[in-house]
Amino acid sequence: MIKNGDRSRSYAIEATGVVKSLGQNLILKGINLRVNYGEVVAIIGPNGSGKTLLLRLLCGLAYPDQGRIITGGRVIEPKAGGALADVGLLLETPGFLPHLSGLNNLRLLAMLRQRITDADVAAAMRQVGLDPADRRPVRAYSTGMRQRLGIAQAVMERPQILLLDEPTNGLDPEYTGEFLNMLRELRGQGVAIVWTSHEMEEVTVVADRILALRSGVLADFNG
Amino acid sequence: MNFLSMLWCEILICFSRRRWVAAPLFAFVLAALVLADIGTRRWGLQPANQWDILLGVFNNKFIVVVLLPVVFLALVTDSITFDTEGRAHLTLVRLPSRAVWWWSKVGLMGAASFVYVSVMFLCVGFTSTPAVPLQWSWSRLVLLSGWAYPGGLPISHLHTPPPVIILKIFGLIWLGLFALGTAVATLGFITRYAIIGWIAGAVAVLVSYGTWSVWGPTLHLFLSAHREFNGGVPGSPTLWWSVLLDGAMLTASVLVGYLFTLRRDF
Amino acid sequence: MANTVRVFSSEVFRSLRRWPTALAFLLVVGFMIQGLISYSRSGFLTSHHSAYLAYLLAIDGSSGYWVGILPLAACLIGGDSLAWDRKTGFIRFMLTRSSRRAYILGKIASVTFLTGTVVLSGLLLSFLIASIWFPLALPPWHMVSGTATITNPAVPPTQILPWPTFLHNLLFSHPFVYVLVVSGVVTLSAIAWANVAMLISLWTTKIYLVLAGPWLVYVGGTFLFCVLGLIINLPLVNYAPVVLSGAFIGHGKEMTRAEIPFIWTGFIILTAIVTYTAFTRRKDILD
Repeated sequence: MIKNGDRSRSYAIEATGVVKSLGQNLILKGINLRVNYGEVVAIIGPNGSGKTLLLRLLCGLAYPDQGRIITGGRVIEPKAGGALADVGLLLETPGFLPHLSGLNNLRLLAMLRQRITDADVAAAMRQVGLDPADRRPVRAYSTGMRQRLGIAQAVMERPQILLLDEPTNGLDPEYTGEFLNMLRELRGQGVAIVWTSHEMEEVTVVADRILALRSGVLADFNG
Repeated sequence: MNFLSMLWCEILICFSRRRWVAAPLFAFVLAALVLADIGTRRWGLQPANQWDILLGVFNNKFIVVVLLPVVFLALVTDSITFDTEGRAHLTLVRLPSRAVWWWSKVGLMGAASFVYVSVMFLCVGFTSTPAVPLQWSWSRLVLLSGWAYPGGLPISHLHTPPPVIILKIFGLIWLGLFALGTAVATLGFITRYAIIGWIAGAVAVLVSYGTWSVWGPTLHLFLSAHREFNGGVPGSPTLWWSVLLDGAMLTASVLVGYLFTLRRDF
Repeated sequence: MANTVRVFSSEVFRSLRRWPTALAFLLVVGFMIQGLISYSRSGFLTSHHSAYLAYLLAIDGSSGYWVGILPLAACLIGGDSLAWDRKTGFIRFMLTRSSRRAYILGKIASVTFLTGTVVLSGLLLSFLIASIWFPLALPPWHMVSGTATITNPAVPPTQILPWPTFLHNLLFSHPFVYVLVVSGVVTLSAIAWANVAMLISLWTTKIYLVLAGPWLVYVGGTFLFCVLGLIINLPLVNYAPVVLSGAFIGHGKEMTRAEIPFIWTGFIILTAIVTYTAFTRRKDILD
């Protein structure tokens, strides 16, 4: 079911001529990207190529120096109070509140969109293999557990667009397989997924398209 | 609805942090000190009541101009940078706009300063109840001492009901801390280092106390620094001047922070 | 021992390349200059300006804010380095290359050395500025019953002006040595506050709380001492943190107060022992 954006437009994400510098360094030199609903696009690239920066631009956490981005029907620009795209996002190491439990962290986040209930939050935690009844604070979690919690917060509100930055970092091989199955399921439900990764084996299993980000430019990955 | 949800979320997160235990503890210590101070003076605590204790704490130059602000700043200076260190990725994408995020931070500062001042007043009042009676009017100590004790007012204010005076003190301190806290947190946000905001706040407090100038940001918290309450000392600010200055500081900080919020990369 | 020296060296290397160290130096010199400016507009005791008086009055808070920002500046230099290591996880890299003992001893030694060096350098530079700005001579003074006193036309010549109350006679016999001794005491207090910041780092990694904590203790402790002293009718204010850090020069009735450097030395040693013990014993220090 379409929850956000204007589905009469054919693309979930449309980026045209996006240029972005960080300080004196020109990182992205004219990115063109179109992602359909129900499509998984994987972006690979070396460290420091700008994959995380690109995801930040797509959801509105950063603005392009040039070019235009439309995500879920919203134009990403600083005007009008700085509207952000309504997406599920997993970016770098999630900044959970260390003194609260995983469940309470997710409940606080769910309060902001108010689309799901506490039961849905608990279900999302179980889906990623975490126990909602675990009262330990997040500071006691391992890296893999924090990553799972990060995935849970990204998918729990059933977004129509999912932006994932190296989501399998720190995950054990067993759960990685379950995670890939989850992505297939979400794709089947019409969710647009943009996924950055270093792991070619994982992306080839699920992705409909694989793009390479090199020297600030996106291109189809050939082998 | 999103703004209120975000504001409520921020309030829950802010007050879930253990550091807020410092506020009531600090209030108890101050109340105890003032009780002991009045108790060792000529007439002791016997003719005093709760208004004397409240004045002794919240109309004391050093407490109001230095201690209350610095403890408050220690509690709230990182309320914005807390988000920008990784948490913004989780909250910002759940809000309709960055503006909502910024306004919720401003709202949080207003709520935090209100709660802080309220907790201080309540705890001081509560601590004084075993030692002094609760009365509606000014105490006999005021008449016996001519209000010549720390925190005392000019005798001309005897006809002003005590709750009115205390409300004015409450309002001055709350508005002043709201403005100062917002300015300091905004400076930390702009520079990306909460410590820079904290240092600026601490220096501002010291300069206010040292110069005793109408431009001192924390002088405005102190009731007896105002012309209406110090017998018209030349160069003192009026109550309206303090309200205007605090309002201007708050408005400037909010606008600068808003512009930065719209433009910066998170 | 070799490990401790290596940790010490790496900490010094690191701290000298941080902007807070430069900021701390600027704060030291800046606020001392503010005190000198304030002195130049007043005229303490007599109309004869003196570099010695300008410097000492700037330190003791009579003509400046320096005494108010001392812990802020001191802690910026290296007081938060342990907190940063814990916060960023860098401490794990350090502890795989040295023992806990060597790490914490190296930290304490480097913070002590760096804080002392930067603060003392700033103070001596300020004295140099004062000596260029004002005459490098004491104001007129005379002896009254074997005690030196500054000559003040408004005061009868047989009356002794007690200022300074800290090692009073040394100022008149060896003014430059006096400046060095006072600078040394203030430097010791700066080192003490930096060590307090390190101690706080064992319990929190919030950097601004680590840097603000000593200042809160400084200001709040002074208030507490003042009020308690009034209540119990004892001169506790003479031992308040602000007084011991700078205002000791002119505070109090005695004219020696030679115990002050020993108070700070003892406090530094005590804080260092507590920091060392807590660090080496806590199992969760890497969390």
